[in-house]
Amino acid sequence: MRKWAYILLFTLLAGTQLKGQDIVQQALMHLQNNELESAKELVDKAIQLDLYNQKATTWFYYGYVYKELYKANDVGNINSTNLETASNAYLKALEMDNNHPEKNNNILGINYLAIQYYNIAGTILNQATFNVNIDTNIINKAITNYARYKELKKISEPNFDNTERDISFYYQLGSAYHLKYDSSKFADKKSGKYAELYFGKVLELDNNNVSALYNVGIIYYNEAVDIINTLDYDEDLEKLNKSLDYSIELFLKALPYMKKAYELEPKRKETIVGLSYIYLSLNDNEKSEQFRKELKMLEENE
Amino acid sequence: MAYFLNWKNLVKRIIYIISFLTLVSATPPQGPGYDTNAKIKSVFIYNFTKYIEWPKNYRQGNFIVGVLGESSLYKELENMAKTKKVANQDIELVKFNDSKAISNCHILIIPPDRSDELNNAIKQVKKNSTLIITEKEGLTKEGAAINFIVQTNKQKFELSKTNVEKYNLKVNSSLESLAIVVN
Repeated sequence: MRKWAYILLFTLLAGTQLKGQDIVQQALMHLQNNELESAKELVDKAIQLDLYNQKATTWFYYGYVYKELYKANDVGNINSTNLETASNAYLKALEMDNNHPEKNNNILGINYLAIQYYNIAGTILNQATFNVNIDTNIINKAITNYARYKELKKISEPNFDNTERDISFYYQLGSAYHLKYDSSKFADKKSGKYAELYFGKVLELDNNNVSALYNVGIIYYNEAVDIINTLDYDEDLEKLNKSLDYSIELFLKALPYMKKAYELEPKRKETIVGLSYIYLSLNDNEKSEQFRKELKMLEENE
Repeated sequence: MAYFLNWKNLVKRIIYIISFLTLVSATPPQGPGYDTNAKIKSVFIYNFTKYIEWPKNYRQGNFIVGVLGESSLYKELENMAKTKKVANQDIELVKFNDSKAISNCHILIIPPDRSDELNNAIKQVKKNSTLIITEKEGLTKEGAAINFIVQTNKQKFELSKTNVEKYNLKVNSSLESLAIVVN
């Protein structure tokens, strides 16, 4: 009697396992026929079964199906949940077994998804560069997507040098905030500070980045100008004195950035204009005039 | 394992990648173009009207601010005249093209490039209660009441109490404490 009970139990267990394997295999067959929804239903079911969700390859296939769903429906969608599910599954597969049979494809998949996150960050920043009213939460989404890109890229290509991409990303981020700051007529101080922060990060990576140097200079310059511009004619002389001190501090902060941008690219007109106005604001009329003349000469020779 | 190639998606992705890379040269930030010194001097000038007392007969009608020739201050003073009053007097801005044309005014501003006309200007206003403001080093010694100067990048002003009082004007001591007092 006991013997028959064991045989029955074994058959049931084996049947369950076979059924589970079938689910994944069936999902792959659906996938090969480009029947993504059916494949999704099957891997969703498989991932719920304890017997299979303990296997790295199940997570890999699960991620694979979601990656294909993303490719089919969501490329360019900054709110894609398929992308998130796929990347989490791929990571889990590697975490469970770093040498599972589909490891190479797993790594390739992670690399593909990394590029998607990178592109999403780019798309958001593209929008931010042309839409001054873009919500900062959306800009933050670019930051999280870029962080995710770096996390995945580190796994798929550990030796990849991200410096150029980091520079480009921080520069775009700085530009997006700079645009918001400018369009608020310098009232949105928070955006101004963020712009300064991200251009600063560009300079940490490339201290000869002329555009970032110019932008940091302009941010300080504009902040100083705004202090003066918003002074009321009625302003008390004591307060005026303090405002003047602070604005001079900012003009002096702007100067080395603008000077370095000029040294690196002496024929860039906007930098020459910038220097002319910074010196004018610092009451150094001689130097201001010198740059004004230089600009005139440059324009005459064009 | 088969990877499916979908051309439509591939093109979409290529456009997508390009979009990020082309961003680098974008962003024309708002550049400079504002004369901060004109605004600062205008704020100072409006403050002078609060700390200097004109005789009673000057406290009616318009408060006249005269400018000799062209001045970078003019635009700012126009803004000031539009938005402010001196006590209950409207501010009227008058431009004198020639020092001989200077008539009675509460304040007379002599820009740096017209500094050599200071003596003529003094002759024109000597019987009036006019506060003469100049913008060049050393002009308080030549008769200016207030002279804008620059010290370590900062806009400051010299005050000659003697030259102010010559024109029957009174200086509030608070102004003295903020000025570089010269005599």
